[in-house]
Amino acid sequence: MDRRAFCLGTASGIAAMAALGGSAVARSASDAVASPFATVVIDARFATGRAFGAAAARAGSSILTFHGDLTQMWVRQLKPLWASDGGPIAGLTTVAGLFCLEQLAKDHWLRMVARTPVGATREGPPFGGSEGLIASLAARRPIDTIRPRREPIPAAELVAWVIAKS
Amino acid sequence: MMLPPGVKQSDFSSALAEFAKAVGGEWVFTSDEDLNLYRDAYSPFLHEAEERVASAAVAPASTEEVQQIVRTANRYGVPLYAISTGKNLGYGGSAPAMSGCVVVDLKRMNRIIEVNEANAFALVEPGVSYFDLYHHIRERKLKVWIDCPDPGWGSVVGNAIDRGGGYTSANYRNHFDSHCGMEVVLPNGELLRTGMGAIPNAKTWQQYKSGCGPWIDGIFSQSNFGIVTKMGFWLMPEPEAYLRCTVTVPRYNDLMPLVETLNYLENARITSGFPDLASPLNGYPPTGQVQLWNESGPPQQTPEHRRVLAGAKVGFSPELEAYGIKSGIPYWELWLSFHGPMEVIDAQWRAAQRRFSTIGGVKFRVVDRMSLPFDPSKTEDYHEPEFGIPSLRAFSIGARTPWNPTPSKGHMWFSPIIPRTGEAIIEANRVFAEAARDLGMPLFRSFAMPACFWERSFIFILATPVTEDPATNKQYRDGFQKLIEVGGQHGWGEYRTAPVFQKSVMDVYSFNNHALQRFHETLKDAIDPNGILSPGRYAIWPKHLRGSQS
Repeated sequence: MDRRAFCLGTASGIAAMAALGGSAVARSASDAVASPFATVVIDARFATGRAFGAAAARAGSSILTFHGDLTQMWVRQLKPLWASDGGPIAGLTTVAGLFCLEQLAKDHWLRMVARTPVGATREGPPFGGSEGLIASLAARRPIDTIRPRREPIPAAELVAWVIAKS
Repeated sequence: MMLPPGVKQSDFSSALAEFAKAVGGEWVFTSDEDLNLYRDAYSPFLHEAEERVASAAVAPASTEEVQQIVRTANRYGVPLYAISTGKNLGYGGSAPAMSGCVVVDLKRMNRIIEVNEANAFALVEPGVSYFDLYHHIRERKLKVWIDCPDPGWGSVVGNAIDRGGGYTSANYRNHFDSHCGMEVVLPNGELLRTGMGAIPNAKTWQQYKSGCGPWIDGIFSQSNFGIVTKMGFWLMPEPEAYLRCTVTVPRYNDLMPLVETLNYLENARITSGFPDLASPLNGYPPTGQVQLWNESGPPQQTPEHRRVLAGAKVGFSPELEAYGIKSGIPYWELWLSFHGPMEVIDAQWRAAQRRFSTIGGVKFRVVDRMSLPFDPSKTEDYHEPEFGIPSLRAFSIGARTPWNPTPSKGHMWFSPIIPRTGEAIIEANRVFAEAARDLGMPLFRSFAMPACFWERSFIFILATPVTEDPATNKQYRDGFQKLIEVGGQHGWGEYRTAPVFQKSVMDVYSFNNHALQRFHETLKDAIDPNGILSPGRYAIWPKHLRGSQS
């Protein structure tokens, strides 16, 4: 995991997210800011994804998790949300996962409006680049609801993104 | 704003205004950001000017709105291109066959009109996805299965019209063959129902396919003769039990009796589920386990295995065969599955074993034997589509690995139909591997096995990657065209292809100076004289564009 790349990527991603959310403001590291996204999607196989989700949860986002196969998450949670026009959704997934979600989003005339490469990673030590993200999002929810599964984790290109109407 | 070829700006604007009047202004799309949603995510012209793109899109919510759109298009000469949900990636996606068409996006027409459990059929609109139909059935606890492709995110109607396939029983795997009755908006806006549906207040529209007189349903698939707005399908009664077994044989030449016996068993309906061929010795997985291999990689091979495999030609060398026998690695492996009452499928498996026993060294193994439905928490243990369960698992891979070289940029499916014989598998491998190697196409690693979607033929489904590099994409496009020609020279043709290759594919179907293609054009001229429906789809061009576009 390239910490610098992630911090840079996260910073620009959060700026994009903040801009989209309208009310969010990137402030100093100690300030707590409400998440502009009611919902955040993460591939919880990856420490990076779990850290991103934890930070977003603390800031008030609902977190939708999946472990590689996003079928059930999409069917049960995301699809109904999109069908009811649930607003911009952020996520941190593999590139392939994002591709699938982009195609599904088209069913609701939604599109990817922001995308930030997070770099390639394997399961490893706790993600250390989330401080900036955590500082930018308010801490509202416990973070231990997102647990990794004990299964082989592939190397993957990860990406943070926003899917929205426009 | 892009204009359709030969259409004046004023006419196009008038047509768009009338489309908006018909469907509501919010369902007519003209901005670049909206039209980007209709680009083919797997276009072989990635980043190139030749990519086929829409000039606008319109999303009707009813058959009546489709009729109004078609009539308006006729008045102004605006070409349309109908899509259901546009998920046939690798075969064109939601992009039109000709740039400048207005995409008619049917995904708002998503009503499941009927699911009849007692006689196992359904009637749906084009916007209904396999997931929609599956969950509709599950929520109502109806005891019927759908048959879906993998991934199962697409339209039931769209996949059938594109002649896609699935993974359950032979009666249902061919999605066009398992349809029963259509409703079609013709190019003049008139509404037609096929089969028994032509009878007002028909009582058997989804229960008898052909009605009386010429059976015309086929002309509305892979074509541009109408927009299908309703379609019936036969569903599979939920089986009581499931049995999955393997048959393995040790020698190269065992492939011929293995396939011949499979054909007998399937054509006689002794085996009912999706048969799946693999070659453990050549390192080729069964179709149903490609996902697993992509996730975890194939079984490890010893250095000696890799060495003898590298020396094999068309999947064979005496050393490879000897190594397989010595190491207990089968040359060929056939996966069979059976659906039905347990006592019936056990008997069918015994009959199958008796038939295969004539092959020396054959071995049998029962992999799964269980009552249905199985515990939903165990779904991930199986290839879901073989149980009629749609899945998106194909996208769970994030990594570019030796086993998964093209995870996200896309691919063009090269999918020739070949005879259902062992000899044809070997001959197709020889011909295509040789051609692909000469063309620098990364299609074959060592030996490829065909899939058994169709009852009496095999099909190869080979992914030609789409890359970020236009020069490489051009090389692969040119190579793809050449492979189509090579296949044609051997009497093999594609079953389906992306718009970019539809002319080349249809050129192979050239018996008697392209009599088939000329018949398509005669039909087109007769029923769509203004040429407004999906010009160029499967190389059927209206008269005014024939030659200039094709």
